Amino acid sequence: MKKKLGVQFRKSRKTTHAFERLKYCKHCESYTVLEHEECDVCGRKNSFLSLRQLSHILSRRHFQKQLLILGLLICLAILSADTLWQLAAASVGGVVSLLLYALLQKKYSIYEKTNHFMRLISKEHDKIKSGLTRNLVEVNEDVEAERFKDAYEKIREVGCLFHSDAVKVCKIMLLNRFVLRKDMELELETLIPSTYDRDFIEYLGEVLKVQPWLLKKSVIDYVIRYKGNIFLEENGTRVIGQVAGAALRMKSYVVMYQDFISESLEYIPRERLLRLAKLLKANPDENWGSLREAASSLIETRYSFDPDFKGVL
Amino acid sequence: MLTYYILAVILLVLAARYVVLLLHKRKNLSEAEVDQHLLTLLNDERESYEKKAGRPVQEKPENHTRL
Repeated sequence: MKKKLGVQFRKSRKTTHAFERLKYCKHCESYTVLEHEECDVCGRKNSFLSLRQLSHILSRRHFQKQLLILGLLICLAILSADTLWQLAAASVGGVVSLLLYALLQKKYSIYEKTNHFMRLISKEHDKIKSGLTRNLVEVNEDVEAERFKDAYEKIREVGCLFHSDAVKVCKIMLLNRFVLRKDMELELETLIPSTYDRDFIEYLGEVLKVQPWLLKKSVIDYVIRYKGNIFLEENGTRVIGQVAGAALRMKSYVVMYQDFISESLEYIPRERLLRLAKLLKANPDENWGSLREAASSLIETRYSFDPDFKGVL
Repeated sequence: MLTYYILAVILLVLAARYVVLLLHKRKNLSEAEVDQHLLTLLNDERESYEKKAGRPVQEKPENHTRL
């Protein structure tokens, strides 16, 4: 059994959108998601822009280009005036068109900016992908050099944009190297692989001990889907019991996953079974199906002499 | 006379700009949609890339049992 490391992760930046994590180097036009002060391609310091800033710069350039064309046309109109009337028409027309242009810009620029942003993403996604792949190479180097904490912190950033199984498997592999604690910034739902993964089950068992609130519907669905495989694992029944026990935290999960909880009752820890019994007693009108009978039967068999269970069900 | 033609072109340019901006407004894209678009572009193609290139992480054999 490999020795686990006690680590303190650097706090991950909270962003509303994933694209806010991307940084663009003004000098070499490369992208990265890692928190380096200097660009890992050209080595320049303080040369980064956010994607939003880049999009605004490009939108502003587009606006200035159009304004320049309009200005040139107005100048041409004025210069080509033969008579005073034409000169007056060109001048007034020019001023009015500039005012109209400014008004349109003020009213609709926000929609145009978002549209430009979308086009920028479409145009640059290959470069962004190359940047993220380069970041993954760095993660690889950290793993090979056994700098597991650094590797995890980096792949955590990359994983906000790349959601592939390979990235998830790598994250799980790294997380299984650490001693997990309640105060750590851990993840679970974002790590669910598309197929059965033994390391994910190992991680699931460990993370639910310290942060049971991370259990969500998608995780329970995964466990139910691969229940057969999980039972074959060394700690399979313990993990099933932990998942079923953690699901009891929310009444909606108990209602939704009655069958699963009913089948997993014998593996649920005592405290969680007590919680279930109290929940079933507090909600007699709910349609619990066979769950109530199964819980009663188990309590009768195992905990008939336990004072905490007296009169609960 | 050329002045009036150029003024007409300016008017056409403004009208075209207005139409384009109206179309942008009708689309009414949000940053969330832009974000989702980026994630779709990165991940839909990423899966096929990985199938060609293999797993991105290589560990020393003695440190890892399975990849």
